[in-house]
Amino acid sequence: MYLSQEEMEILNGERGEGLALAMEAVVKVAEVLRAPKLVKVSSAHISGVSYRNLGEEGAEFLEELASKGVRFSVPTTVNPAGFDLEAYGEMKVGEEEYELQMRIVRALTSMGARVTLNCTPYLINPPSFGEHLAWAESNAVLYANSVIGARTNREGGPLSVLEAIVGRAPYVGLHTDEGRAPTVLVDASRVRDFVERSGAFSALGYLVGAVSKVGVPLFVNGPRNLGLPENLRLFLAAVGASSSIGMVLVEGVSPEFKRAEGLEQITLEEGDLRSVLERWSSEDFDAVVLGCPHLSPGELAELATRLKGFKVRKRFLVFTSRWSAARAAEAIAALKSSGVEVYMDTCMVVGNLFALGIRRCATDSAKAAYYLSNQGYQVLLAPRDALLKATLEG
Amino acid sequence: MERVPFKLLNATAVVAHVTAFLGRGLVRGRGCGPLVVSEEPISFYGGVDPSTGMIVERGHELYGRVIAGTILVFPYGKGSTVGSYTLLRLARRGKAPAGIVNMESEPIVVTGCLLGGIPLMDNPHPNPFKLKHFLNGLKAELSVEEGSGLLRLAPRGF
Repeated sequence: MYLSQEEMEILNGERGEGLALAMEAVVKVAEVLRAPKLVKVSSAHISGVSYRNLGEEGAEFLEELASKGVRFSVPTTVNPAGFDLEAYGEMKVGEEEYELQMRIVRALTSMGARVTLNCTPYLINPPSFGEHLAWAESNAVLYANSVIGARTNREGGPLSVLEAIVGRAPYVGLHTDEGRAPTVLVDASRVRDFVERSGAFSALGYLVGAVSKVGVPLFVNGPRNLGLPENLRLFLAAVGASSSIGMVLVEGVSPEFKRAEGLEQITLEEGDLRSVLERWSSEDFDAVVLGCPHLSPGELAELATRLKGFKVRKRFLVFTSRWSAARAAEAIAALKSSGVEVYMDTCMVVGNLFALGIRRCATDSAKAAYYLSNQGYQVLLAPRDALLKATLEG
Repeated sequence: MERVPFKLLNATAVVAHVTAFLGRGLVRGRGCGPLVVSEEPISFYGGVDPSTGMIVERGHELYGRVIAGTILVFPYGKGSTVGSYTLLRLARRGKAPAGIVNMESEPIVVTGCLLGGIPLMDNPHPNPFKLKHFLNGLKAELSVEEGSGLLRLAPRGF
């Protein structure tokens, strides 16, 4: 494997012990993946930030790196934490958990991360076409590759910390032209009417991931309105939950989309889409939970408009970032006056809904549905519109 | 005389000759312990209890086994990438395997072993899975240097 002079020096410890450890890990992973070299990245996004995932030892590890003077060498954002850092009392977080989470936040901050605690870095720090990134968090990776045409693999959470330190990632997979070529044709012509009628964009994404599993699907004849940002985000996040896919070439959306010959073809059927929806069809729910991925300022405004003058008749939780909330302050105030609970820095998947007294949840996100049901919640998956109607009518 | 099934006899003959496995060295170090061989991949996040080192994934062939201090042989890691932190957590609590041998390592295990200082080798020759039943429980030493690794079985009675 080729290493530049600078990379060799870092590896040999000439720039310090912490940097050498990070470089060694990135080089080892590159060797395992049979990458010919490393590629410089223009930003990093770290996942695995919650105290529940890192534990005491993970926090210690980050603190040690920070105390050795290690700094992130590229602009670095971070995924949601285990609770809202300001409204942690409302989320019933104990002192110990609070302190552990704050140690992680402080270590990341002192290494120079922008502690965004958010899963949509493409809104906060949007990359450009062709840029190389080291992003963990599957929905962000899928969005960057498929919608923007930036280049990143689905980097691992811990590995993304080390890549952010060295500012490089293994040059392999979705970083390369060959790795971005479509591997399977997925035809949605037989389900597009159903999705247009029902709004089941998220279930559609889950199905695309489940049938393709790996590689780069070339997605054709999709429903109109799939190109709307909120639908795309739900669609792509769900692809990430049901597969290890990091990019979908979506007709009419992806800048790198072009027709290809000779691919294996999968035609999606309405029955398969219905079985995705049936998988999460809890009859009743304690709360509606929205924000997987985190809601954008536009989505918050839209939601506030829909709820204006109404009070929600069921608990209604919304998850977003501090960044988005600051750009939709009026909407947040309006949502709260309609009885909506708004949480930042965290989400329904890494937070603890049980502590909020919620056992059964309704969501518009198949990704959230997948992870919540794994954690033991009863889940209803339904389009946002339907959930809004159900909540307003009681 | 007790009849020994042919297949068993055959494998015994092989075992009698196999005393070591050579592989690609990924994380340097030396470790010693009883061999535990799993033909199923392992998810460290959610599949292994980070405070005890016990396999807690239901239905896994190692369910209920403690992997602390063993030379753990499995095909590759699976599941969430946060599994790297689980390996680090195990190592810091003294509950990690003394060494890991994979058929083909992937980033989760490589990163975790590097952070936790757990010796790691992959691509072992000959294939240890074919000798699984004879290897399980045998004491072995894994030593990994730059580029290459060696898993040696301890002499019998050792």
